Amino acid sequence: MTQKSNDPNSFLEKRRQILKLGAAGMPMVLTLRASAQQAVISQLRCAITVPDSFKILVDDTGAVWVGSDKIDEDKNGNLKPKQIKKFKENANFVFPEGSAPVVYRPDECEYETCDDDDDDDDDDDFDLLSHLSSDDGTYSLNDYLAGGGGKKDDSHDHNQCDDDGHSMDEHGHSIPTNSGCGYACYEYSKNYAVTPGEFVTEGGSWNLTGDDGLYLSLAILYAEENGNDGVWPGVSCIVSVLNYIGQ
Amino acid sequence: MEFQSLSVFSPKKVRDALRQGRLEMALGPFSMRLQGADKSLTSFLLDVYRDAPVRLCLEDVTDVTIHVRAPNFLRKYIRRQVIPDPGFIVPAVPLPPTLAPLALEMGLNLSVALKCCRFTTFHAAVVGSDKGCILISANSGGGKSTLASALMEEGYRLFSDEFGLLDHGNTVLHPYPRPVSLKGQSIQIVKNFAGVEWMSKTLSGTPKGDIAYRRARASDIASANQPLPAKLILFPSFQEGATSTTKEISKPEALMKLIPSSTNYHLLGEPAFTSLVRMVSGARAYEITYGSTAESLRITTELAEGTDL
Amino acid sequence: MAAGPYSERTVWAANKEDTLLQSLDDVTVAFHKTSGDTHILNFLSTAIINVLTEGAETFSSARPKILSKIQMSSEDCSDAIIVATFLELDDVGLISPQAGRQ
Repeated sequence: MTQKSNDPNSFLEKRRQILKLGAAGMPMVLTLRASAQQAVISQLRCAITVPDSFKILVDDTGAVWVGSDKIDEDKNGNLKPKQIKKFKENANFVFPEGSAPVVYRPDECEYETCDDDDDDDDDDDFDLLSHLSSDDGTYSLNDYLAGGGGKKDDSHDHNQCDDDGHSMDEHGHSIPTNSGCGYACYEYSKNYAVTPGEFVTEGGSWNLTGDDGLYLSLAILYAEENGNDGVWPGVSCIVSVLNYIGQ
Repeated sequence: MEFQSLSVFSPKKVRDALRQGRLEMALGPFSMRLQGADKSLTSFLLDVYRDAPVRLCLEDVTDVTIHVRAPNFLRKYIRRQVIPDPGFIVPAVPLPPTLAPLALEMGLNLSVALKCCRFTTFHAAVVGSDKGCILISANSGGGKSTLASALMEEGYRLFSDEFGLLDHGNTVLHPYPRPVSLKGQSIQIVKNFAGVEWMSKTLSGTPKGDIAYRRARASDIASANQPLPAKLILFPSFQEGATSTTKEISKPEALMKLIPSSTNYHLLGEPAFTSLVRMVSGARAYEITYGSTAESLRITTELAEGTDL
Repeated sequence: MAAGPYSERTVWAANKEDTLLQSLDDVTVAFHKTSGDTHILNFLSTAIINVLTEGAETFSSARPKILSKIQMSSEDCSDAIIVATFLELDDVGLISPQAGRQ
């Protein structure tokens, strides 16, 4: 909640914010009809429309790239590595590891195993999603992100085997059995539209599902970082909803 | 004839007056003429309205008239039923004579909700200290009666468990301290902290399950002509086992939440709008979520301290 | 959106007898007597109502007065958002185009 201030700049800034929300679709008049049982909450009515098609690429750590370059699948159904590389280089938005909710992350790659494998650690099979689910089936966004993807282990020493018993290339990276694996690509068509308010429960928490859920969770991250000043499509609408639900 | 507490009259006199439609009760801003033949009604009034001021003769026109009677001639004698008749057509489900008290309470609620134009009325429980009122706005079953009962135990005065009555002239809320209506689990909860001596017999088999009434105290009734302004407006939401939350809401938002809960805002128009805006201007408003009566009491008490109640 | 024609020559007006306005926090609450509807207006919609209550105006003649009331420039408050708000206010009956004066 913004603090009240006598500072004229803050006063004007607040008005500018409201006008930006108006440009994003928030109504300037909230009406309770004589026959209505409930007031319409204008902040939840705003909608986001993205005129151009785009894609969201998510890796198994939850890092995200958003762009519009093409990424095709090969005959085995895996994304083509060269196109993945180019997509990442040309991405309009990049989010760090742990940004995408767990449900949207692909499985980890299977890596080439190493002969010198004496690694005995077994990661616990930790189902973050069921651990975080609340009684009413909705999730706090912060819960989504708390799991994180974990950082890549950069402490490799250029031996042939990494600590996980995977073969490593000359750069010290584990070699996946399929170099296009470990990525999931979500496509959004031209004029993609979403109304964030529809994903807010009566209790004022987010219930993010489907491809819309991925878009919105990234939009929320972006809005929290950049506020209304950012260029993410529909950020004003997201800020409006976040303000309404008090986040 | 002066008004006296109902308890000073013998059961026979009360029963006769009720049968003949001569029982006039004055409670807060309303005078009520009550009529009915069923024994259950007499017992209920003598128990739950024992401290209410009444006179057993008709001397004046009353604001409210309720006749608890059979819906038709046949039902007066065969498979007997009763309905509340407030002098205008109401959608009332016929009830067995043992539930005549419920018919009376429903009839009184309908009369105030539909025919009162002196005040802006809205569905709310209201309690007060000597400085101001707490208005608890929730629909039926929303927990306002249980919270109001709990606040009574903390020393708050009962204004009403059903209606906020907002005066158009000076933006105060008027008390109308009828018995607090409790349903289901709330009955035992309130019985536990108020004591069984304050509770009516439980009425079972009603359209809303078990219902019992927590009677108003003599002090609540004696102060019924002392209205006060609202200082705190609450929009409670009970969710079993939920973590308590408190969120202050803006005055415009509080206004827009109160308007749909009003039974006569759109009938009254301008005076209701003006008085409601003034009321909201002078109070702080919160949405609260809680998982138990104890929690609701804790939250409300803390918020009340913050508003100097 | 509003029904009926709209053009640059449309003359708009607000009838102050029809609407009760009260300030509440940072907004204005309005009661429209004819419809019985209640509205919350922000600073822009309030400014438009106030300007048009003072006298009927076209969009072009109203715009500088509106910007003056809200103490903002046309860079901050575009024509598009003012027009959109005009149409919203028309939609709910708080302002209306004047017949025969387009």
